[in-house]
Amino acid sequence: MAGSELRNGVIEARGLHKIFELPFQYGTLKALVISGANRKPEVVHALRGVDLTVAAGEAVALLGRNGSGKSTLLSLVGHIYEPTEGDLTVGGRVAPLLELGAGFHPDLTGVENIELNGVILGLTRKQVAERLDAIIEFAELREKIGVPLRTYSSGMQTRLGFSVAVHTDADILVVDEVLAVGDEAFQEKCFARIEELKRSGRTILFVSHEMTDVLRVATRVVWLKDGRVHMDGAPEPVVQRYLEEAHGQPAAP
Amino acid sequence: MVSEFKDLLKYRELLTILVVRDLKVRYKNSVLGFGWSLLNPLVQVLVITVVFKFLMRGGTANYSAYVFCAMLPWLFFSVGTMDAANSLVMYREVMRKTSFPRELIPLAYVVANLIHFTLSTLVFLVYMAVGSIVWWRVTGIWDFALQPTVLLLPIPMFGMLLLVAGVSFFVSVWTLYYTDVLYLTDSLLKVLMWLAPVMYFPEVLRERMPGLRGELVYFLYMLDPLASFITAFRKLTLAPAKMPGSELITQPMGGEEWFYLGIGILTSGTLAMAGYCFFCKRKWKLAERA
Repeated sequence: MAGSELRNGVIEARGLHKIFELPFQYGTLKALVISGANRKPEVVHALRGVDLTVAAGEAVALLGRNGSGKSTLLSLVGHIYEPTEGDLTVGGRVAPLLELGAGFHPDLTGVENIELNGVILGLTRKQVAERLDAIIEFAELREKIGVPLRTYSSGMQTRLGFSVAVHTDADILVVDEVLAVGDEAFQEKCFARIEELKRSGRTILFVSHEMTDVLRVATRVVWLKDGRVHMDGAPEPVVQRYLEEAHGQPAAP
Repeated sequence: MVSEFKDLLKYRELLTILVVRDLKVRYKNSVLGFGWSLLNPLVQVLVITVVFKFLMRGGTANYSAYVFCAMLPWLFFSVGTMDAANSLVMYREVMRKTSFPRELIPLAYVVANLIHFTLSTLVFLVYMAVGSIVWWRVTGIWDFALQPTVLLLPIPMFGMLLLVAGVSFFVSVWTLYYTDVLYLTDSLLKVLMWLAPVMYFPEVLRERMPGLRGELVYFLYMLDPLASFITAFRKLTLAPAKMPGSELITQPMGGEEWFYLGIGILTSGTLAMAGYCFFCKRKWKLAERA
């Protein structure tokens, strides 16, 4: 990624377009042969020119209906795939937390999975080893950490995933609807940890459909509509307008 | 491609972890662990030996050792290719959520299989050595088939690594796009096994077709990197043997075999580079195939 010119934690997007090609019925050679030369791939235009600059230390929430391009934008910033058009520069290291515990394997123990997931998120093995205790402590899984992951409840697995995620020291956290997991008490811990990360100057870009979470965490809200930035500003007014429209009140004549 | 490669070096820790993960998952959850993975080739060799020795009466002393020896690199090729072919499909969800260099995925399976191949080879060498010594103590016959050239085995093994990696880069991408490729590969591997000198000695070609035509066929046959690697692997390991159904004794590793081994390494190196370029051109598109 060409992010070296930018300050760590800064995201700059200019005229970002993302077009997904969905060649119909792809997946079999039969379809390819039958459709032959005149196949036209179905196209989904997910982002239609997004301009966005995020400063270091901001916590930006993305709002928008399903299919408005939120996840696509997160994935682009997280470098899961590349934009079709436009420029995207990201300063510093990004940890894409689009799913907790990416790469977790049920047959491996908690410790082994922490190492796997941590390194996938960009830590070195040494760093993982140094943070191992903190990660286990945060996840509250001390006594189960040596047994295979398949014996964990789903709540325990998400807790472990979250714990690894917030112990990577990426400059930018890209978070998809996984801000708060587990029971009430653990959720409080999640929010406290996120506040801590914010204070230490990390940039957070996240998607959530829980407006209370948005208002609690975000310092700025960006509303996406049909792949474009519809509204951008302080959390309260944007959330209010968004809710008005969602509940069918005509926001504008 | 050079910058891609530098990027890859930065991620070697992740490669290590993915390899260890694969090996752990493979050897865990079973009592025999590593033993199981040797059981399959052992059973195959046993069947082959019985068929050749007793049913077809083409007995060569120790024939099973020669088959098993060739089976080791063959299994590295076939299992490695199939594992890698499946790899991107298996990591589909992981790819959609993470951003590490995608080539690590097929490579991890190739390296895991290389380690497995090395371990199996070591087990085989120890078995051969101990077996010969026991045989000598019991019968008084000194029939030590292992050659001192086993020390050169890393050369054909390196060639195999290039070959498997090269094939894997192509096959893994194609399989992600078209599941059919997995079945095609599987069938193709069955054919390839008989095109390579696993169950027989390559000298049989020359014996059946004397003269210029045989030489030509042999030359073309040996251009297949698998044929040259397996031949080298076997000849570096075991002493020449009497071929089944014939009075001929096979040749030891000689200039000709080294020549074909060199060609095989060149071909495989080219294939590996081409495969890597092919893969890298597409690697950030792979996550979009959901």
